[in-house]
Amino acid sequence: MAKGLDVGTSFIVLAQDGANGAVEYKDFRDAFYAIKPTTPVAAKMIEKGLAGKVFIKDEDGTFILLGQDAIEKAVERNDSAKRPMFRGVVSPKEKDAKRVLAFILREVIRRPTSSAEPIVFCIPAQPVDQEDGDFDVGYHEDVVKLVLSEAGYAPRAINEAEALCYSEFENDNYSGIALSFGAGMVNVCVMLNGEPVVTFSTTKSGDWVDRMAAVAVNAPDSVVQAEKEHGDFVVGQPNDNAILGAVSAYYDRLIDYTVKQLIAALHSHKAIPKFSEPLPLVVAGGTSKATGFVDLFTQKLAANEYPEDLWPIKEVRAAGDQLHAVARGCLIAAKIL
Amino acid sequence: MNNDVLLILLYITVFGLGYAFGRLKTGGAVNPTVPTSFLKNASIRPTSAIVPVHIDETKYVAPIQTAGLVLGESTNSIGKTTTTTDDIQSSVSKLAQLKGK
Repeated sequence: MAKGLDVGTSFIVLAQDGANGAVEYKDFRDAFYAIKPTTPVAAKMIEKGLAGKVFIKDEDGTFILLGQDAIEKAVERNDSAKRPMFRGVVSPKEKDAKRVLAFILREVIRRPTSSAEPIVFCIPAQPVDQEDGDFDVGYHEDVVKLVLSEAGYAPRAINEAEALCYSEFENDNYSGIALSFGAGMVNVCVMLNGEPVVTFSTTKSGDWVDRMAAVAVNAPDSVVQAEKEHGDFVVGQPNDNAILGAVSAYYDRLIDYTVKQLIAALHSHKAIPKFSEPLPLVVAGGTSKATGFVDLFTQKLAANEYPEDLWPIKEVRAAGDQLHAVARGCLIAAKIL
Repeated sequence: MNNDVLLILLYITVFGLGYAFGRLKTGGAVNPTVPTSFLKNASIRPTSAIVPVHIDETKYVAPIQTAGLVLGESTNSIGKTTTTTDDIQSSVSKLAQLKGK
């Protein structure tokens, strides 16, 4: 038995074998919200109020709401839930966040069914637009590896967009361009016959849209996020709702920026492979689920003079299951690596 | 004046004899290597012995203690499970073949 794990800024997704050859996914919202009671009476009242919600108790008496319940509680208090990860990686400075992430990971993956069971998890590529000392992919990889190996697994890391390629390009001879639009980052991989030839990431994705829209309309990020996920809007189109209007406008800018980064990376690639046929381009991740995303992406490729003669594209499409595609690719990798 | 001419002729003769002797000794072969000091030769180390050594500067990951954290009484497990009819076996086989596994 092998497992695939997508450790994302917004969601942790476990993929494993289900009954009769099916694939089973376990999703968990990667968020927490801490409430520290000031008196024993307050602690009892808070615990009563949290009945039915997903939470953990810390030894100092703090209640830590997890997942979607954490986000809802934060919105209720006009506050923002915390994330164990920031821009795709564990931050070395966030001690509590690392502890909560370790707890969540252990609860999601549980114990292995066999000794040293293989598990493949995804890591981001080094970003092209971030030179912050806090951004340390190696540290992130080591933290996740430590948690998984302590749980009894034999962990191995692969690039997030590479995993997406494994999931989506079976009928294209494992050749194509994959973009994983997570919450914190966009990861890109160009694959040729099962081998990655270009990989990079950018640090502007769904969270950037939320933050910019929140500043524009003077609202908390979590309120914008909730509105974005449940609201009716088309990316790049005006909207009567002020929050959704801002979200739509920043989506347009995000897609334009990502397409420009993709074109710049392809132009700077020295050894251009010979493609026997045009490549499919696949987008996945929660951020890419917005209505009109694929259409606007296609328009932006043309508007930014994508080098069609060197890197031909036959279609732009969304992954079969945009939220689970990376975890699915990790599971496929775990079975052969 | 005659002494000067004789001296010049002597120089030419000595040079000629030296050249002829040199040709006879080396057989006409030219050695392009410029003689260098043995002290300099002694200071040269074989390049194959120079191996760059790097120290591991990646951040140390301290053990992450989660012992004090316990799930709330009403929480049995976390995560929402969904099952798909999606079969990945053909993907695994094709990719394994491509990668020669």
